[in-house]
Amino acid sequence: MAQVTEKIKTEVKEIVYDFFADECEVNKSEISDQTNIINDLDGDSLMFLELIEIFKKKYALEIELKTIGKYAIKNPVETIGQLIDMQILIIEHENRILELV
Amino acid sequence: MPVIKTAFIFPAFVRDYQDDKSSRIENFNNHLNHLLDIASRVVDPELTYFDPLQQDFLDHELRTQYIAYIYGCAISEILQQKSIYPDFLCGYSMGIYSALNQGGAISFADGLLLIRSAFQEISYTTMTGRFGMTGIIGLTESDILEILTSFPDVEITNQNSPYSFVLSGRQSDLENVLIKAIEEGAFHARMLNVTVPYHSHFLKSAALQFAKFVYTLDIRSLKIPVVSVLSQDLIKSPEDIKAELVENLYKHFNWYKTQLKLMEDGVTRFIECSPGKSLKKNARTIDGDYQFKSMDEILPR
Repeated sequence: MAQVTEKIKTEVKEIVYDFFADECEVNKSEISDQTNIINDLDGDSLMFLELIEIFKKKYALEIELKTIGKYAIKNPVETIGQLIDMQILIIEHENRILELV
Repeated sequence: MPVIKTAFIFPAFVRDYQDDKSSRIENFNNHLNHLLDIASRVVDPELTYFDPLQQDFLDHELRTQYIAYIYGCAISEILQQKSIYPDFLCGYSMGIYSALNQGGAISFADGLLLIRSAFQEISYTTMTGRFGMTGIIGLTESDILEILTSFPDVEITNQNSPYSFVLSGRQSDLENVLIKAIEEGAFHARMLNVTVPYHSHFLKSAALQFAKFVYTLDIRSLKIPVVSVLSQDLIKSPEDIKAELVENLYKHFNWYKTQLKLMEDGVTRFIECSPGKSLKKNARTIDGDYQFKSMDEILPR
């Protein structure tokens, strides 16, 4: 289990905000933790997939996509804040994330 | 200065017009209306009333193919009028007709007639059942094949990117596959807005009937290379084009491998000739040093 420091948490938040600002062509200041990814940003599952790949590479994570999918069925993500929380849990627990369900 | 190699890409359908900014480009509307006028005389008088602002024809499987074809040709021709030329052309699934027209192999009218003929033959073949296609994102090919062991009539008919697949089959089977896919951890699994199991064995007899029409046409040699999404090879002779047209109805294709092959051949700029951006969005999950643009991002307004 990886130790997730405050620095990593800040980094994750920064990456998620930058990613959606860029992909959805909106100003970063328009995004908050309460922003709904689908309704407010017109986000889609391919963006979710791309973001997970970014985190897998950056933190050398060992986790299968379907494990994240199974976790997400029971813990659906709708807002930017929920997505950040899930990414932090993925970094912390990798393939063992399903044990949290 | 590095040489930019460009591929013009032609999708099969239009999902919506919300991303369409083509009308801002000088001469585009005039050219589109000119092609709509021809199409309304050749295949369907309703096409003359087409209005993207009204989201016209999105639920009409044949008309949306005509519109995708007409838009594809219009955008490609406007780009070339403004000195942006393709090194390669490639049609995603039924987008093959636009690619062949822009490559000089078939006339604009014959492209429309091919779309109509294919659709008619497919409709006869599939009229006794309910069919469709699904998209599944987030599973690997082996995960999906494992699910399909219980559904032998469902096929993976296209791979869009490493974790994005399209399946064809009977609607009832596909609905059950979707439930299994979500249980197995797919991020996204949904029915596509089509009632035809394109690229599957169900269409083999339709393809044989379609061949009778294909082999009556005057098909010329290509002036611009067209890449096959079935084999990722260049389509060379008129005989190859005829075979490709027929096989394109019932054989699997692989968009992911096709994009990789074009990149191997030096393509660094893809231009999606469509009112939508579905292939550009798909490209986000394909690694590589390239740009994927729409016409309005390339041309000055």
